[in-house]
Amino acid sequence: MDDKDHTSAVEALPVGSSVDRAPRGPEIEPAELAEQAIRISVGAATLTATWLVGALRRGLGVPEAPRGELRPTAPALLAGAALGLAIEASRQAARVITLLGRTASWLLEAPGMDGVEARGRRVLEELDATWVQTRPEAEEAASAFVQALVPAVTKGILDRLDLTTMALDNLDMGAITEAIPLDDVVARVDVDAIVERVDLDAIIARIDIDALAQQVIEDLDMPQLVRDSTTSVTAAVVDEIRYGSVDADQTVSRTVDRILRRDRRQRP
Amino acid sequence: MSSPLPRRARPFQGERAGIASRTVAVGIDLFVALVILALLIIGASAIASIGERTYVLKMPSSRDMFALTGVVVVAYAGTLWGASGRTFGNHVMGLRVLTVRGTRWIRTRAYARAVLYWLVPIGLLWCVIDRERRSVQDLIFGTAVVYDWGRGGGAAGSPGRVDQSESSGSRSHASNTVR
Repeated sequence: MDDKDHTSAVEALPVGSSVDRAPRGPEIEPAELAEQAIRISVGAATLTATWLVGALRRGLGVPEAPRGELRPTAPALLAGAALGLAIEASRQAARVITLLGRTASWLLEAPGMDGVEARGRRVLEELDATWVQTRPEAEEAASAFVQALVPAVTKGILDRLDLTTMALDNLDMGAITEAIPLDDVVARVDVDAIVERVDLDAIIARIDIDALAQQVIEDLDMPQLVRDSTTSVTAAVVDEIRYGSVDADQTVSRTVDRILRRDRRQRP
Repeated sequence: MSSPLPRRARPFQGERAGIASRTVAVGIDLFVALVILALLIIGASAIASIGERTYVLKMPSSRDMFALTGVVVVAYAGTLWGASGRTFGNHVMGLRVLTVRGTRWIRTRAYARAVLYWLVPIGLLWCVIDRERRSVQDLIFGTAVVYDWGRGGGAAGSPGRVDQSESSGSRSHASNTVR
């Protein structure tokens, strides 16, 4: 950046008929020139925006934030965001213009164009320097804006969405469950490690063993159990004695019937 | 006995019991009566020994013993027959004494039957010869002894069943011959 008079340089911008009066300067790439122009226009917008923000701040009575610690106020954020967007756009546009500029380079190579170029370049460089100076601030503002806005917007959206209901309505839970390799997951679980971490003594200490044992004994009804088993054994023995006696009764009856030559079928 | 009646025992429930079963039952009852008698003698001796220096077992004379045994047997058997139709011996052998006509037991009849058994025990043998397996005592007092294992499986135990057994004796006997 040199120390030329900026105002005169701006006045001498190569617009319309004034192009002819401009002296021919050192050679310059047309594409580079186009990129510079866009950056400058962005820079100018930045300056305007910065000034506007300052004015708004003063008008609204917002205290001036200390330098280096830029607190994003709403207008500043908006301006910064716009500028951040513009910076990106300018970069993309510059590439396009570079291509266009190369094809149109014959225009600037025409006689009498050198002076115009040189003067125009100086002006552009001046403005660009201004932009470069203020650029970090603008970019910081844009970044702060995004940082402040995105979480708020996301939260607002999420507050209005019933994600659970949406998931239940739209998701095929069966398919999802099937897709989960549960066997693999379970295989990865170290049951021994889990058991090791369990304080079994503490658990046992909390169980009322006496009451439990009492309950079990009551449920089993041990006396009835003993009675039943004893009874069944006794009954089996007694039954055999009875069968034997019934057989003996039959044998005696048959023998007596035979001796008395009695028809057994007639006997009651 | 709370276990259910075995399938094998069902056919002869309510049938008249023969000499073998009844003899075994009588043997058991005699044993029980003797135990009671022994306890009575020991108890009486103990009471008689109160105030004396040593315990002396005082055995009754043989005549007193016969009478005492008779009293015990009659009291024991008569009481149980009158109450439930079965002594302990009957119970073990699965027998029950019923009145043939389905009438209720009268206590005096039960005691009288017991007395007759004590005086003429040989009367029991008549059931070997009798077609209806009734002893002399049964014929005199209108009773009969049937198989009744008392587990709800046989319809025995109801006086009516005995009457039926009498009236349709041949059919009942058919099931006996199977064995």
